[in-house]
Amino acid sequence: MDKDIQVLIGGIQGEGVLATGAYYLQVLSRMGYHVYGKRHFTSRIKGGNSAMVAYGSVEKRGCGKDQMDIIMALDQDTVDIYLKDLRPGGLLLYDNAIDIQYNKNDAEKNEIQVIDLPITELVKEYGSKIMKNVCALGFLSRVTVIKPEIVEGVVETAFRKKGKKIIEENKKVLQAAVNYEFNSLKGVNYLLESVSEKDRGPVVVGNDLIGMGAVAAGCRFMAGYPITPASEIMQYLSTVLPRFKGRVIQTEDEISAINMIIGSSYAGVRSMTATSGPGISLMIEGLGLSSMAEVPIVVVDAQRKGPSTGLPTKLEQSDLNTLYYGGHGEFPLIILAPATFEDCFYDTVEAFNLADIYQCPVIILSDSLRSLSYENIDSIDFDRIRINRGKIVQEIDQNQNDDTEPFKRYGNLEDGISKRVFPGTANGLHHVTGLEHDEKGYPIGVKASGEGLTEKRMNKLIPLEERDGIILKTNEGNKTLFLAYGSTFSYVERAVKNLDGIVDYGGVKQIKPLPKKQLRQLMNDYEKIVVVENNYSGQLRKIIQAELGNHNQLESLLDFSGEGFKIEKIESKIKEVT
Amino acid sequence: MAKYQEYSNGIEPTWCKGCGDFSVLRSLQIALSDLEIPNKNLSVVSGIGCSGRISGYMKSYSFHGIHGRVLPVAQGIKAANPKLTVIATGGDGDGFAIGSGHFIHAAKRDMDITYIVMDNQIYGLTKGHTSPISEKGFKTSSTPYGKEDTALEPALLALSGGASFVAQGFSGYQEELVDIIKEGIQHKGFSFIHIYSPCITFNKINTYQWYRQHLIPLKDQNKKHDKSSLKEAMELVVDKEGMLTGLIYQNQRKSETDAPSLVDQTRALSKEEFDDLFQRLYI
Repeated sequence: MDKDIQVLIGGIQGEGVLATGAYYLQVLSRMGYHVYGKRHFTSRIKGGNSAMVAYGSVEKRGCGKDQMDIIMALDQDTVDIYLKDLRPGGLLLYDNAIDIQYNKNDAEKNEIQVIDLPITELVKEYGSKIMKNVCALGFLSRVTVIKPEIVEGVVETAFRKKGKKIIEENKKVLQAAVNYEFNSLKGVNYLLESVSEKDRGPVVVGNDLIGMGAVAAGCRFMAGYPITPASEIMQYLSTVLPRFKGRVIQTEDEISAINMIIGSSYAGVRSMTATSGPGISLMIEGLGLSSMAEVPIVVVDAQRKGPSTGLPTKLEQSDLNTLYYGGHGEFPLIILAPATFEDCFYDTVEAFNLADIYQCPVIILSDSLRSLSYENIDSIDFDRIRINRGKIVQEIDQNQNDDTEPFKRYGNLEDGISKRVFPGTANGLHHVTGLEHDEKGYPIGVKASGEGLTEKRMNKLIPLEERDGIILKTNEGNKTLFLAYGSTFSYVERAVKNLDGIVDYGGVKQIKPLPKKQLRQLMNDYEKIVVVENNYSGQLRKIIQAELGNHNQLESLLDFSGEGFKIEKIESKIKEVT
Repeated sequence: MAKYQEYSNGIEPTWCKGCGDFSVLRSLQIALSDLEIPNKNLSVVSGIGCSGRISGYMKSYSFHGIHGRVLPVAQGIKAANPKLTVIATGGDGDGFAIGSGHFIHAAKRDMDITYIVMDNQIYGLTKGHTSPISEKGFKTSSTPYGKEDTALEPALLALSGGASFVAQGFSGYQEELVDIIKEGIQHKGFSFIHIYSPCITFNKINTYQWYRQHLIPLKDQNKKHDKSSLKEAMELVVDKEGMLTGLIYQNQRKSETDAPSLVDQTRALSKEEFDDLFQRLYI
């Protein structure tokens, strides 16, 4: 059995429970564990309950488990909301400055151990109120018997920019918690030993990796408008891009953001924006322009629960229809969906390459769990990074084109992919328009037919239908396949592994164009395909059926609670269909 | 061939005979030719509407985007490659109705671009609907009983938004127009040039003759105002209800020409840069 631990730390939003969780994950990472952290939060800055689920395991999981081993409560809400998720025999820790209320009979029945901790008290004695998170970290480490020097190391790293004094103060609080003598802890054994000498790397969120992927891909311009759960990408790039002489502009709205990156990309710089559903709704017209003008852009959609403002901090995968079918008219667009944490990096690099090669918008379809969940990453393969900017003409010979005639920016109707030339290049003058246009970019007017040009654009993505856009995990003899995309993939993976791989599973990483060749093969190979997604109507399943038929072979497993799937729910479905 | 024709691609505009936009197009071409801006470094961006077609008549890197979004596109181009001379163009509907949000923010951002608005106080391309600049009571096909609200004052919007160069012109005063456009292009910052450019087909009120009667050329005024004073500029616009031509306000704040081209920075990372980036991921 995989050795693992799952802790929930909850308190009043703004009190630093997120930091406690993140530090704890970093501690586990230094001990060689794979970690996963999931935030539960609301759209307010202070007040209300906020919680972080911190999970560590020997085997790489990419998600947590349904039940908690330990709950650390810094407020009453945490007990009220999450005590039901504590496993029988689990441990409830709480700050004894608050008078925790809970059903003692239930707790006894479930053999739950309850221990009060003097968190507020110690912080008052040894430090200041803002150090509650470090104190909680100290106790958590104490209970799980983690060597104090590992925790100290993490605190030192975390506060390295704040100066020696702050580090020492925090260490004092940490030590007070670690050295605290109390009787009730006896018999509690959540011993966690280091499972590897090797540090398993920094703990970050998916959005950080998307940002880093963009920098590695050569993206030097980002325009964006803040929105949950995509803002971290803009934050990351705002910090990092200036070091690479790049630039981030926070625009007045999402419409401005997408048009601005169309302008910058047209001028030659790799450019992106990042948003969530409400922003996507505003950007749709811009996607059409990017596609019509054949200007490459990369747009991240970190999906959240809609419609309208919906539940901004909750999970849903319900923007797919809008992106797959959306916009007026018909235009080519590519949708990539990172299935794993690492994909956030590599798929972002690929998104920029595909955008440049095919000269159209590429959507990185993430979701709130893929974007905001924490994981550790021990390395990124530098050699896997390839930059392909497609057909760009750097210089144009005067004999070839002398500007008496415009450069044929939209020439080549054969494979539909034309040569790009950036403003500033001699002999490359041309016109770009959202109107239907000829090879030179000029509006075609009423006399000409737009058929050939529509085909030029639409057909250029056909080769991508032949790619293997689905990663598959198979066992000999299985007749059922579970498909998922985005963060849901890891949940399916966990459920399947829990049931010893009695079904095969896959992650759909390229959703548009749909990998038709591979899907046709899968429809031959399996009796049943279950598409697992976080939405009400089974959007991906319906898209596959619309494109490929086979209506009886496909079915949906859906969740739209906003919390994401319980592993148990997927397990039940697996049992049901096998 | 006259020198300004080097900025024409030879395509005949689709505008009605007598449209004010012809004069704007010519003035822009003369200004560019006087300033000897190399065609290859010229990017003319336009929105949607009759005037939006202007980019399609220029010998330049021309970009005809979607309705109301000319300024985001133009700013994106300038941010990417500051060496380019970026001219954003459009009409009053494009700039002050659907695109008004971008207008004040572009003014505030003060990037070194020139924004030329051809204002005919009506929607021409949709065949005569009211515009935010139409006067109260103005009758159009969408306001058959007269427009209910008052006209918006673009110069005041630009000034309050923070534009560092605000000027007005009139299609009928081409000489002045050329000078203003030249000054606007040379100004380092967001240059807003509001041009009254009559629609001879759908606007029978604000005609060439009407503008000649109502517009006050600032150069003919005896009392000169302080062009660097925001207060005086605003007072002037309010006093004359916007019926002015000439330079209203200029405040040279910064130079952006030395900003690096982001295009040249689009490159792969070295292993060292990459490793450093990875190390910085630690909380």
